[in-house]
Amino acid sequence: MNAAPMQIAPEYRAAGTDLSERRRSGISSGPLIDIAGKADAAITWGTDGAATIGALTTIATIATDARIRHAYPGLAASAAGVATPQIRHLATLGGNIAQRSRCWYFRNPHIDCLKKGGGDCPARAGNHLYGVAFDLGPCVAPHPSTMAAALSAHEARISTDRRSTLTIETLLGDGRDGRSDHALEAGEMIRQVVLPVPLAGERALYKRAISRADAEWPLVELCARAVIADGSFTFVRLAAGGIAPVPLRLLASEAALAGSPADAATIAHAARLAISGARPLPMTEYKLDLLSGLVRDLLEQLAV
Amino acid sequence: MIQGIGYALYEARESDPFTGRVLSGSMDDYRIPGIADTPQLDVHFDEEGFDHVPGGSVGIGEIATVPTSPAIANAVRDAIGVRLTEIPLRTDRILAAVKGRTAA
Repeated sequence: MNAAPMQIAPEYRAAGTDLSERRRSGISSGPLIDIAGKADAAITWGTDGAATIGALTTIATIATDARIRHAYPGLAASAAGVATPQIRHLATLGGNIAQRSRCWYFRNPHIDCLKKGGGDCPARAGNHLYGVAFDLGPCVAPHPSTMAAALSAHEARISTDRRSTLTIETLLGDGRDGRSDHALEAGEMIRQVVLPVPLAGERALYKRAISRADAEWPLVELCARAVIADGSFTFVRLAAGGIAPVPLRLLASEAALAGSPADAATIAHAARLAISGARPLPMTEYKLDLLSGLVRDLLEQLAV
Repeated sequence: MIQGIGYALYEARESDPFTGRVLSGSMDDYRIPGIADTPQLDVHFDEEGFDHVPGGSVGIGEIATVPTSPAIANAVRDAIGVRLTEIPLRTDRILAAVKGRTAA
């Protein structure tokens, strides 16, 4: 540690569902700024039918709002998969996007790591059972935000108090840094999520591979959107979480599906392509089976 | 019996292989079954009593907890055709067994 005290940027506290735990363990010890009740918590609709969701909208609202469920079924399903009813009732969209890593090493106050100003990632050589299978950067923790993966599948745009029309990829980075869970500037606050105009005939699903029936961090998760016309996929977006340091768009699978018949052969091919570019760690090869299986499972359901 | 389900499927003290530091230090990371993981349980009581036991002291916890894990392991063997010899019966271990890989 430096001799001079480190300048610690204040952290925002929305619902504080995760922050409370990090305060108790000492992982978070700097100043806080409460924003609950201050920023935007409303869902507004444009004349074109597109929604803008305020950052303090709760996950439960997104999961249950009738118009969101109709226009953006994949987003609503993803929200319904998050955590527990109690957490969803309080937790906010902005907080979920800016969610900190679930890595055991990051959460342990006695262990140094990249995300706490340390020099390397102890999980890489250590125990990374729940680590990434797309090894894109020095930190091996998967990105923890379910909503960020869903928003990536929707190609949503994020506005902060300083910048607008950010993609999820710009907001969270490409995973090569490893020192942070997002690429927000110090003190920058997420304000709004702007969704695109809903597609006619879209069907969408979300599924997380977990070992308990409910209430568990995903081993791998997938938000899948598709439009099928005349027996062929005309539009597909697939975004996976739990498997890379950032939400992962499955571009090779999407490209193989677009314009192809919605049949078993196409789906099997896309499921194999889902793991294109994967670099599993010694303990995470199983996640590739889960990813491939999720792609197959959701596409089969969408193609029915 | 519910504790036995956790023993079979979830409970594990994970540690760092170099420092030995415990990594699964919270109830979020040290998994136990939730209510949705708990099936309907049929409980049978031995109505013969335990008066014949010397001293009259009878264990009750372990008797129900310990055999639950081999029962679940046998069910997994029956489902996938491969026998796992290590608990908890984690996702990665089941996938590795099915694929003939060595699990982490």
